[in-house]
Amino acid sequence: MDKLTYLKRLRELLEEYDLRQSEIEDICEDYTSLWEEYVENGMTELEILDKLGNPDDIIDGLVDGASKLEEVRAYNRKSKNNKFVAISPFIALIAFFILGFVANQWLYSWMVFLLIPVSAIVLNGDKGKPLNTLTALTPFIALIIYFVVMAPNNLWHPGWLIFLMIPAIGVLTDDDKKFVVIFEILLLGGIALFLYLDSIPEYAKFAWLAFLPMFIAGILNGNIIITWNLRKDYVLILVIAAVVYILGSYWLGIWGFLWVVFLAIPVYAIWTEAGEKERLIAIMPFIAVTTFMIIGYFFNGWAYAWLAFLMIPMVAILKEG
Amino acid sequence: MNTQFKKGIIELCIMKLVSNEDASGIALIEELSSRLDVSENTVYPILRRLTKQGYFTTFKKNIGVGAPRKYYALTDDGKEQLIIYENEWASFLKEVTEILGGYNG
Repeated sequence: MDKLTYLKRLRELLEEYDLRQSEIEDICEDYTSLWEEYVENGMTELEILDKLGNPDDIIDGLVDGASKLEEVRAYNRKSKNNKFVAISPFIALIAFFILGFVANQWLYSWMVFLLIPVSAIVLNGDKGKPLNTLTALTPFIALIIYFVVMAPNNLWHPGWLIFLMIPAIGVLTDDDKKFVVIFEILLLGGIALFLYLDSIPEYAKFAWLAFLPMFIAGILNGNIIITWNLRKDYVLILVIAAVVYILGSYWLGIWGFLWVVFLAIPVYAIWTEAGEKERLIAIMPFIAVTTFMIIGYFFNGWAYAWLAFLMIPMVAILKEG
Repeated sequence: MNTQFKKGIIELCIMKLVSNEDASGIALIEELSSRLDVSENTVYPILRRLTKQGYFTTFKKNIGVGAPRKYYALTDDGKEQLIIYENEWASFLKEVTEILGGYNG
């Protein structure tokens, strides 16, 4: 390694760290002088290299604990993202009221609370694996499409088929590409067969059998629970919330209130992820919304129900105090 | 010997050598590596750290042929710190000697 190569490598390595440019210049200048002094003393390149040490070996000592630029950038990005995720319940709350009171969209405004888990998935997802992030987002995408597109057009059934996009996209993360193709064919074929059978009154009750091959393929592949980025307990909460919403709306007719069950998703996420101290403060917006809806919806106390939101700062002050 | 412990001793030696006489990086590297079991490339990072901490100041000096060389000199802060280090070292050495003497006895 000659002097220029040595100094070039040294500079390259130094520039990977969070150092001031003047510091980098200073170190390079010092090493240039050291090299030249050794040359003046009659040393060969090999002997000088032995004295000064290979740039890759000495870099840790030279940067004196400085972090790598890549790590600094990742940390800054993560901390910015975490801040957004932390305030997302409040952004959602404000959006909820604006959509409700200003646009009178109470039927859909609850969906802004999905912003909380969605922003967490998008901002904290692995940037190198966009498919995993998309897979984690599909339950929310399906839910939004279902309520925004299917429900208003009275397509509750068979509009729920949109939820099949969850396994359809989730399976794409499977490494076994042959299985992926088979699964997708069985799923799409299953949907087509289901719609066909469902349209014939005498076969309609057997229509669900159309999805059986897809499940059998999943079992045979030892992969019936499609691997996705979203934790299984989150999916379970989402499914329970959807079942409670559908059954409660169907039997009790209180769909205007029951959307609050979907708040269980972000509440559960906060309860399991947040520290003990922040936990109660973080879920207060949800408790407040639920209380607001109970007082307003069941007791027609909308005029006073907003008082529930005072709980948020009160709890924060008490807990922080 | 523990690396951190060794670095601490080298640091003390470098400060002492510079307190005796302003010195260039190479002179210090050569002096230390010839007398102690010190790899040459561990000296320069210590020189930089001590300069950053304000214990050393640097200046350029023309030495006959070639480009001017960087010299290191002890600052007032450096002189105070060297006294602290020397006292700590003397007290440490005394205790260790006593302990070892005790074991031998």
